[in-house]
Amino acid sequence: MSGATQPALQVSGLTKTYRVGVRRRLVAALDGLALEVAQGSIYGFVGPNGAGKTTSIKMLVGLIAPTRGEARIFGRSIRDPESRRAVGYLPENPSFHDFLRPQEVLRYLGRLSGMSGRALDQRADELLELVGLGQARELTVRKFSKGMVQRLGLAQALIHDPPLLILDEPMSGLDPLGRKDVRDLVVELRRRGKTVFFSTHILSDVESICDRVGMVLRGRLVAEGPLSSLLDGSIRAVELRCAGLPEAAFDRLRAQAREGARGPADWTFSFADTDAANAAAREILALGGRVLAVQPVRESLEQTFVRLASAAGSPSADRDVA
Amino acid sequence: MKALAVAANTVRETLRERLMYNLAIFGLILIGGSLTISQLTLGEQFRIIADIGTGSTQLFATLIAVFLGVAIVARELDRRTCYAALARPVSRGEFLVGKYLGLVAVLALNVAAMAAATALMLLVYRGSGDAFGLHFVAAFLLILVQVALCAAFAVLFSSFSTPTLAVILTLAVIGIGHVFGEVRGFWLTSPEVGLKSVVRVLDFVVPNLGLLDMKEALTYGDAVAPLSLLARVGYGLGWAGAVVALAAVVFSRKDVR
Repeated sequence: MSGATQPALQVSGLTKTYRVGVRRRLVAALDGLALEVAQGSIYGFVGPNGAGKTTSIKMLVGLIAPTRGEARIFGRSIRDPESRRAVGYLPENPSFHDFLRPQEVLRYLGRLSGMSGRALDQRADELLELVGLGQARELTVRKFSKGMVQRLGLAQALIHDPPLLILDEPMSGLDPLGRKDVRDLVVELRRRGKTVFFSTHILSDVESICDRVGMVLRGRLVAEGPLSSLLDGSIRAVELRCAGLPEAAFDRLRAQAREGARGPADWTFSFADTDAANAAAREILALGGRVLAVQPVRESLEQTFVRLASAAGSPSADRDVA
Repeated sequence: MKALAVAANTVRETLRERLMYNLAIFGLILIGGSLTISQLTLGEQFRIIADIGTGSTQLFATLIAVFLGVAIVARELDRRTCYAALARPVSRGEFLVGKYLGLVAVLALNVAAMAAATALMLLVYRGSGDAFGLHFVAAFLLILVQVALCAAFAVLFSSFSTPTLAVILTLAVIGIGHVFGEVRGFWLTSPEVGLKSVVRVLDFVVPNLGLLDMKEALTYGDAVAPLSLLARVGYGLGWAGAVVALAAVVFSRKDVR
């Protein structure tokens, strides 16, 4: 397979089972995971807590040995430690030696990736600026906030400029601004030709930046593909926003709509389909009112996830997915 | 090279251990006090100072080796600080060897500090450096080899058991190693002792720590044959290497969950 068409990540039948309890009962943490991540894409790996996301990622980076199955990173088996030369990994809730300064953390981990000398020092400096830790050089990790540790985690994943980034819950512990920074960074990395595979249970993060999504539930991949193919594209409702109508018109429109609400300066109605919304819009105009917006409502990734989770009988589907 | 990066980081990590300083300072105080304690005897002062110096070094360096050796990898797993390191092109073996070498470097510093303190006491007592021959080097060098071997067992046991159990197992091996070193010759030659095959198996699976003990050479001023010293160092390092290799195999099969 040529370098250009070779997937960055190729997983087939990846399985991890554990023996638990006194009777050594066999439990599958991951069951036959199969997926492909194209070079230069952003892949969102979503699922509720305990679904098997972190187990999958730990197998990809060599922290856990698969029971069965195989995965290849740019064609190299994950059982070969050299496969990890192409990977930058951000663990879930990363932790570093708390007596080190951020640059010392980056130097230590950079050396383990085969870097040394001035190139390493320079790269560490650049990355500290990139992730917003330029002002924290003199602090030891012990004094870092959770968000700062997460930023340092991203910097260490990037230190050796790997073509593939595997990020386990990269937005975890970050405030809204921090999350936006990470989203922007991920998009920027793709622009530079990197491949990003990241897990999350925050679906809005996936929806905004991912090219492809895999949904994992109870250790099984239940849906996988481009975002557009996973979402049910049919129109669930049509939302209409209007203003400038006499008070008596509200009840008439409300009777035609599924839902209706009075806002401070406008009214919003939700109709079952476009025909009903069109009829209401004509009526509003005839009454001398203004139609401010007509918006079809389609299924969100979150709704898709909850639908799939309910179908799979996951009790945590509603609880864990934010 | 990567193992050395891990070792350097481990040295920095270990040098922050309060437990190590507590034990080392206690040892140094004991050695410092040996000059006073030795005055309780008549004509044996040199031997008392040498005994306390080598004995304290052996005891406290062994305790440091056991307690830090047990924690050195277990804590990395516990605090998840090894995740970002192990997810790099580094084999588990390299990582574990690096951790071990870092610990041995710190143990060497400890033994060197206690040897220096002992030398200072002997110098104050004698007023000359005539005690510092090969037997002085041999006594402390073999203590270092001995504690490096203890650390190797601590790392091995901590790779598959809990820290408490690992400490117990390591202390048991050290105890058996010392006792066995004393009695193996008698057990193997005496016609009254049966089950010679069991003794031979023990002789193979337990290190003879008696071979790594030349404290008396310093105490009594015995001559030390350089080849004998080299052979003993080789024996100890060979054992330590084998135990660390076994620990690396166990660690490479461990899931970092």
